[in-house]
Amino acid sequence: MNAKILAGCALAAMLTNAAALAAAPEGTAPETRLYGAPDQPNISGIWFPVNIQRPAPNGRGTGFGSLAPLWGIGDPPLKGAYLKLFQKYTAAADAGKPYADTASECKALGVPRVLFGPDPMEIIETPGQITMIQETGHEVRRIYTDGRKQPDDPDPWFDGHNIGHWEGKTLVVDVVGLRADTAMDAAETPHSDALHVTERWTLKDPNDIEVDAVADDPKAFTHPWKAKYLWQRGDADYEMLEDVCEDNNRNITNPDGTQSTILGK
Amino acid sequence: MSHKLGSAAILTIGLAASAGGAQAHHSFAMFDLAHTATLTGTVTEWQWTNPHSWLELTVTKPGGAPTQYSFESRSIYLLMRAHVHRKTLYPGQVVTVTYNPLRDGENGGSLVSATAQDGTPLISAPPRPGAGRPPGGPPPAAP
Repeated sequence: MNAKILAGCALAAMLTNAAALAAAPEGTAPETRLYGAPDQPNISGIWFPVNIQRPAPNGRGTGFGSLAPLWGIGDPPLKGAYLKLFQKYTAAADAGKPYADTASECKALGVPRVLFGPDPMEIIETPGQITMIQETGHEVRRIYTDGRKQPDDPDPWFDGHNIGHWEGKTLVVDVVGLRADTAMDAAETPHSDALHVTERWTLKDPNDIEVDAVADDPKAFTHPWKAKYLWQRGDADYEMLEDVCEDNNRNITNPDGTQSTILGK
Repeated sequence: MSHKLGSAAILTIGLAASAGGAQAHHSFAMFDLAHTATLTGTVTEWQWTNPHSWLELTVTKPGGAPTQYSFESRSIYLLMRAHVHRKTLYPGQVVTVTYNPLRDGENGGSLVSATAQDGTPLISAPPRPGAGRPPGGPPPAAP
């Protein structure tokens, strides 16, 4: 096949994809995609979080168990030093002086807090990898689906090491190697470096994903903690926005670890 | 679709939500979410930025000196979904804002709404979380 024919094929493929994308009505999956096995659900595209949230136990944010009242999931099962830490954070928040965390410092939300959004996420399926790009802070997760194993002694990362595989219509993601300084949720619920998260991403219909997450942390939790997150396919014409968190972050961290808001900037 | 019905059922159960709406970037504990205050002033700057947009407002109370107030608004995405854009507010514009005040008494807070002097709503209170798919369509044209 010469270069001209190749170019023609590529152009034809581009036109086919462009036509399919242009024809897709709002909120529906494009009929074609560049990658991904035909027998697997198509989760490529833009997804909007469904911001169903409950007050955290301390009433100042979104708890990890975001649908707790419906699913009967209780308050964070913290124990020992981690429970004391959470109580310290709660008391400070109640006094109007919340502690800083990796989100307020514009570092990253980290897994599992990033499952909540609150801004859109782009999922890109490529051979052997599913990439999730959060609009919030350009946070990127690379979920390897090529059969590799988790590293024996992973370096701790904000979003950990992500290994995925498909079980029918469900993408199962195993996450280890998570940093201990991220919070589980906006309530700043702490966890340890032993946190192990398992996520089940199920395409309920072409436009709705449910994520059932289980967080196990033998150092910090008395028992595994469950949560559910919902994402809906975004409008077909939605373009991901630039989001540089350091651009106008007015939440500074004080020497004592609490955060203050800069005014009049 | 059972899933849609499920979502609706969740709503009717009425999960309470933080007044600040979706908050990923930082705790809202520095704001008094139980109280809403009102002020009228002149826009000095509308910072169309992430992780939050900010409104700088000059407020002159009767007999007082001009005072600068800072109001934190939502992320660009959340504002766009509410049909707010970077030219919705502009320097020199007189607006009335409602906000959850800073608990430390400093001049500012978490912006709830902004209204033009002719009564036109510029920024409306955030929808309750769980309101489902955000309103579609492009934001209105810039003035």
